This record gives sequence, C-alpha cells and structure tokens, in this order.
Amino acid sequence: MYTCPKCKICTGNLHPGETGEVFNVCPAYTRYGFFTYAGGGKCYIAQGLREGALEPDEDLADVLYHCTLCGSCAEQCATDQDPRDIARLARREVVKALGGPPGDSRTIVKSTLNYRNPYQQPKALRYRWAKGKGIKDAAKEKVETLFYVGCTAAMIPERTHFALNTVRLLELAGEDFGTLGQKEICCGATTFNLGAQEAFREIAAENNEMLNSTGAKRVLTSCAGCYSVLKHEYPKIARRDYEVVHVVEYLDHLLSEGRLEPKNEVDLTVTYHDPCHLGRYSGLYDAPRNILAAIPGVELIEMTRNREKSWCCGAGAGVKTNYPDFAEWVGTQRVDEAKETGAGALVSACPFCEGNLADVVKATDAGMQVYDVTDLLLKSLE
Amino acid sequence: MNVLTSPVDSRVVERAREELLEALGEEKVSTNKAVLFTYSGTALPLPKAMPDIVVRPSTVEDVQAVLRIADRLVVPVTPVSSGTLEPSVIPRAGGIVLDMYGMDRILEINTDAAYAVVEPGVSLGRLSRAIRPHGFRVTLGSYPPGNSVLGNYHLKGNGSHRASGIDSEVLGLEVVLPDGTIVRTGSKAFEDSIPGQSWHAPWGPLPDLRGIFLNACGTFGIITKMATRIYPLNDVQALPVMGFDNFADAVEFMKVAARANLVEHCVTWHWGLATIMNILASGGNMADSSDYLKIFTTEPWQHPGDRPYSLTLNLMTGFDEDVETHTRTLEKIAVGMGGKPMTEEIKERFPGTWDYFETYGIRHEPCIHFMKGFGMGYGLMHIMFAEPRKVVELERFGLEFIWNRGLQYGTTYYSHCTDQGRSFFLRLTPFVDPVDEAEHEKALGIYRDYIDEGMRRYGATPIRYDGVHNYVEKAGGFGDLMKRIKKAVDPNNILNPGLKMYEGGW
Repeated sequence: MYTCPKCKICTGNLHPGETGEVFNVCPAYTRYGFFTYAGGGKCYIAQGLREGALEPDEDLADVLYHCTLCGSCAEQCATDQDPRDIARLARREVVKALGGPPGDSRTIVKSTLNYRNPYQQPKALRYRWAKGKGIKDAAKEKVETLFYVGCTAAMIPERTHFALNTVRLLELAGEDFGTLGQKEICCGATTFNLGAQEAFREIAAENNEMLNSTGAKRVLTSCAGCYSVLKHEYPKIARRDYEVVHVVEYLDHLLSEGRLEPKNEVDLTVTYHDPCHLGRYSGLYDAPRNILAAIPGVELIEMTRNREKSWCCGAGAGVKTNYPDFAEWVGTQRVDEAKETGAGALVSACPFCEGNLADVVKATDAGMQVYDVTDLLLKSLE
Repeated sequence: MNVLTSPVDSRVVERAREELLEALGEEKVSTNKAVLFTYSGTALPLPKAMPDIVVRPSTVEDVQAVLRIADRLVVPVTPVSSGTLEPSVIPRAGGIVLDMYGMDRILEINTDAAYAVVEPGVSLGRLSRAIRPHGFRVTLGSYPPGNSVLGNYHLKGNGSHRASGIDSEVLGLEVVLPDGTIVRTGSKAFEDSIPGQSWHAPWGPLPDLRGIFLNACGTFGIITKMATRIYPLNDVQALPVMGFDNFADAVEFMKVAARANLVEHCVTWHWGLATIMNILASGGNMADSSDYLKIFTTEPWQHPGDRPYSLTLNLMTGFDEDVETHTRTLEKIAVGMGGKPMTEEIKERFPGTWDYFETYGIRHEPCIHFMKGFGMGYGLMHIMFAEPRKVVELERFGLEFIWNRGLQYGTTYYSHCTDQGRSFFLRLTPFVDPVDEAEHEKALGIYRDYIDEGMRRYGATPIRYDGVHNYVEKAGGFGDLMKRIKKAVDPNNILNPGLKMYEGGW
C-alpha cells in the first residue's frame, strides 16, 4: 500500500503499447471523480488507517464500500499491487470498529450467520427449486461431481434457471452428480468481500468440511462468486480435498469431448459480459466464448471493454444492497455499451451480473434480452 | 505518520463549504475525511497536510467561482492534477485542494501548427494516443501515462526535446486569477476582442508572460488550458546507445551531438539506474537479484567493471537516410571520445532496460517502468541544472555527499542535455524506504544540504520551488519583482501559500 505512486493508471487503460481510445475502467472513480474512489485511493485509505491518521468511521466506510472489488485496478496497476486485498483489509477494520459493514449490508452478514444464506430466507426453502427433480443427495451417496448450487440460484426465483439449466445439462451429458440439497449453506463470498472476516471463516470452515466429507472429486458451481471464493480463498483457511470447477469450464470440456452436441439453431446476435469473478479473478475468458461459438446460429460481437478490460456489472461486494443507485449507474454504463454493439442479447455467466444487468435493462427499457450462457446452450440441445 | 492539520479557522471553512456547495453542487465538493486524506500528500516521503475541502471543478466557470469564494473568505487554494510526486501539491496551509484532473478535455489538435490544447486532467497517455493517428507524438520523460500533460509541462524539467534547444512545451496558457479574471497568453491574448485567434505564438507584440505562471505551482493563478507543442512521428525513430567509462566523457559527447544537431535529445544514465531498470522492467524482484546488491553496496561513483559507467541515449527521428547517417556519425564521435556503441549489447544483456528505452525513445510512449521502483521508495528529487564542466563536478560531489550521509539505500541518477549543452539537468535519486520516517527525515536534511552546497560550490540551479528553501529571499531584484507581482495578482495570498514561497510577506 505504501508503494502506490498515484500514477492514476488504475483509473483508465493507459498502458504503453495499447492502441485505440483510452477508456474508463474503475466504476467508482468514473462516477465520483475523487482519486479516493480509485484503487490507488484505497491504498492511501489503508495507509491512513494503519498509521492512525484516519479512523474507521462512517465517512471512511462510505468511500470504501462504494466499490464492487471488480479488480480493474489490480489488472491495471503499474506496481503490481492488488487494491482489492488492501480494500478488504481496510473493510475488516471498519467491521471491527463499527460492529459490521455499513448500511443494509450488515443484514447480509447477519443473515448468512443465522440462516446460512444472505437473503434472510429460511433454510427450509433452499431446495424448493429442485422439487421433483430426483437429484442425488451427495451427503448420503457419493458422486463424482457435486453441483454446488449457491444461494442466489437456489433462493431467488428469477435466478433459479441457473440451477435448473446446470442440472439438465449434466443429465444430458450423462454426468454422475448430486447436490447437498437442503444441507447446502452459503459459500461466504459476500461476507468475505464485506470484510466480515470472522463470519466468513466460520461459514467457510463449515462449508469446506461438508464439501470435503462428501468425497466428491469435483465441486461444480454456476455462480462466479461461489467459484472464486471456493477456489481462491478456501485453501487459505483449510485443506480442500476437491477440485473447484465453474459450469462454463465444465461445459467447454464436455463440448470438446463430444458429450454435448448442440444441434438446434439459435438465431441470435449476442454480446458477452465477462463477470469479474470469472474473468479478472479467475482467468476464465475463453470457456464461455467457446460455448457460444459451439451453438449454431449464435453470433458474438464483443464489447469494447471485454475480457481483462471488462466493465463491472455494478452488483458485487454489497454495492447493490448498500448503494442501489450507484449499482444501477454502473449497470447502465454496461448495458449502454452492450447496446452499442447492436447485439439483440446480453449474455453472461453469473447470477449476480445477470440480476443487475437485467434490472437495468428493464429500468431503462433497453430492449435487449439477458441470458445466461447455459440458457442458450440448452436451447440448442433440446 | 506526520500529518499536519489545517490552520484555517473552522468557521471560515464551514462558510466556504456552504458557498462552494451552493456554487458547484455536492458532487464536486467533498469534506469526507477519507477523501481529504487522499489529497494530503504524494508518493514522496514528505509530511502530509490535511486540506479542509476538496473541490473537483469541471469547467473554467467552476474554477472562477472557487477562487472568488476563496479570495473573499481568504481560504488557501492548492491546485493539483495527477499529483504523483510533485511536492508543491501538498496543501500545507490547509484550505481547499482544487483537483483539476476532472477537467479532462482535449480541446484541439492542430496538425498544421503542431500543437494540442488540453485541460489539466488530460493525461500523457490519452494525449499520446489521441495524436498518434494524426502522425504526432508528445515530449516525454520518465513519466507514467496517467500524469497530467499540463501539470507536468508547466513545471521546468527534462523532456525529450530539451537537447535540441526547445526549452518548453508550452505555447500558451489560459489562467484564472484569484479575482476570477481570465488571462490568455501569447497570440491567444487577443481572443476576447478579436475572436478566432489561435495558440501558435508564445508571444506577440506584448511581453511574454508565460513565465509568470510556468514553474509557479499555481501561486500566480490556476492554469485551466495549455497549448502544447506536439511533434511529428517522422519516418523513422532510432535510439543508438553509447557507453562511456566516465560521466565527463558522456557530457562532452552530449554537447557535441546536440550542438551539431545530430540528435533531437540526449540523456545519460548512470550504471546504477540502468541496472535497476533492467530488474524492474524484466519483471524481476529486486531483492532476488545480485545486481541489486551491487547497486547498494558499491560506491556509486566507482566504475562497476562489467558494464559502462554511463549510457548515453540518443533520440533521433527523421528520414531513414539521415538517421542512418547521423547514427554512424554519432558512433564515430563516441569512439573518438573513448566511448563505444552499445545498442546491441544493451538489448542482449539488459533487456528490461532496453524495453524502457524503446518505449520512451522509439515508440514515444509514456512509460510505467519507473513505477515499480516505488517498492524501493524514491527519495526526494535532488535535481539541479549546471554548466557542463560544473555538472561533472556536481555529479561526483553529489554521489559522495549522499553516500557519506549514510542513507540505508544508495543513489543513482540520470542527466539530460538541455539547450544544446548549455545547461545539464542532473537528477540524483536516492532510495528511501517508504515507511521509515527516520530515513525520511534524514533524506530531507540531505536534500536541503545538497541543494545548498550545489548552488554554493558549483553554481548549480535547483529545478523548482520545494517549500524547503526560501529562494525568493535569495533572488535579489528578481525576488523583489516576484513579490510585487504576487501582491498585485494575489493580494490575499490564497494561491498555494503552503509552498511558503513568500514566507515573510511581500
């Protein structure tokens, strides 16, 4: 944090050798303009906290939490710092001092601890999406692949298609899989990103132990947030005996092996939004694009800011809960960019991204369809 | 961490805040403590100072409004744009920090007269990319691409055209005075009465007043536009590198090359800097490299043995045949002076260093290579100009002086030829641990003493006002004139008083 030279490269793509127009990459800085909101600004906030020049108060929290932790700053940083990690450390100080993250996101942490999901929904409702599906219970019967559904797909009706699609695709591929059913609990990703480290460790330890105990070779998830935290953060807490795979990775693999053969034409021009937790956090750029390329009739037109330069959807790290106007603003920038491609549909691979982008499309009457990658693949298979 | 608190009366601050909110709106005005802290200092290891308010104007009218309010209430105003390293942006007198980075339009690219007009928030990276399709480039130093064009060029410094005698990139300025008056310099001065003037001439029938505002760090007015020279890409860019076993030979070579118009610019790197850059730009970790130890355990004025003491970079651009001929001429001159052509050897042995050289001198793009050096901590910028013979003496003196004062890490430098070798820029760069406050204190003392000794012993001239030395009091009639102008233009001393340029009054 002390080696941030304020070079401002975290605010825009300014690397030598890059051609074309310079474009904005940091949502918070672009919206609010003060350097404090940029990745480098987080470094200075952290310095101030560490040296006692700043207090972890509401003022500081307001700036610190106006950030989706999208990672554009880390991607751009000329000194190879990771302001995301620095911001999370600073958030932990805020949580310690204020008894929780600011605003409504405090409810997310409490809900995760009390209900083992961030949506304040009773545990009993977790598995309602799977009623009648006859999916194996991985807690009772060993399976090769454990489908980790995630709270959003399980509990938010508009996002349930993530779970249903994944199940159907695994069935079509003849995969031996199961879920934890009602026993599944939150991965803890949002508590982690909000800086509620104690809560995260509690949830992650319990979840990891449960996943380990199933003996599944791989844990597959259709949520980018779950994927990122299971893959990158769980090993820092405890030993993880399973491989973590995102559904787009796995589908790409199934397609390449011929276990899935898309045959129906899906006549659609699409543009693809790279979720931060799949893209910048995990390097999964090609798999979703390979899937789209395999679907007959689908034409992909890239947005200007794609792959590592992808603009965030605006939902992550508690922003949609705490600052819905800002989340909508960020999402609107992205939807406008999608519209500029002329594509009829905006496709992503994350329930959080889909949720915010779909909300913006509706609020702005953007006239685009919003799909998950699995929606289109399934259309082509059945 | 040493953070100065603002001395401005809180009732005055509150009044200013209310008036600014009414004039500019809450999106452009912040008193959030986290925001204030971010504007309290730069990456340099200098004490920070909290402002009271940060304002982010987006128009000239905004700037006028801020200054009128600040002038009436007598609240200090410190302007900043990219604010990377420059000590003058630290708001030592508290008050308002004017974050000019939000004014970021490229207003004009004039390919006929070869200039661009920019607002303070236009970065080198943006301008560079905007003019490239038109066949042009900007002048460069070691600056990262996010640095403000205007902020950078308004300060006296190095830049990749100085050797050829181009003293400044600035053709013209638009400046707002504390009372809101807008001043435009040079050919643009007549814009209000005869619309349609351009920025082509730095002066006209009236005195050239650019100099009042250049290198002034906002103490005479807030610059809101700059017309800056841009340069053609030409047919070919080349960067032949010559190696010398001592700095004196490198200086003589640069004089000859510049005065014979063989180069657009030339600069000499000390072996330590070339070594560090190789590590940084190769993606290496300095702590793992044995070269690292060599830099900091070897007396920097000693020849390293296995590489030249000095590397001279020669920036050339033009038609293929000319560049080829001039390159051969340069090589002949270098060999005649005891040097040797090193371009191919640098590419092979120091690929990271070559990567920087190529970015800067051939591709003409602002670089990020120096940024990684902040992991080591950059000390204060011990930059002075001196005559050729004197700069050679200053180099030896400076290296020994800093070394013997016992900083934990060592020092290195680069030296630019300016004005055809009439004056040489020498930047010594000691490394200072970014978190060691005792080292910072020591470094500040060394800096102060080095500048004093450099001026006294070698007639060297410091590069700009630093808030440490009171140059105005030492500047005789010139200083007296500055005070009179300051009194006339900024009678309430609201413009960057923290720089203490007029400590003791005027």
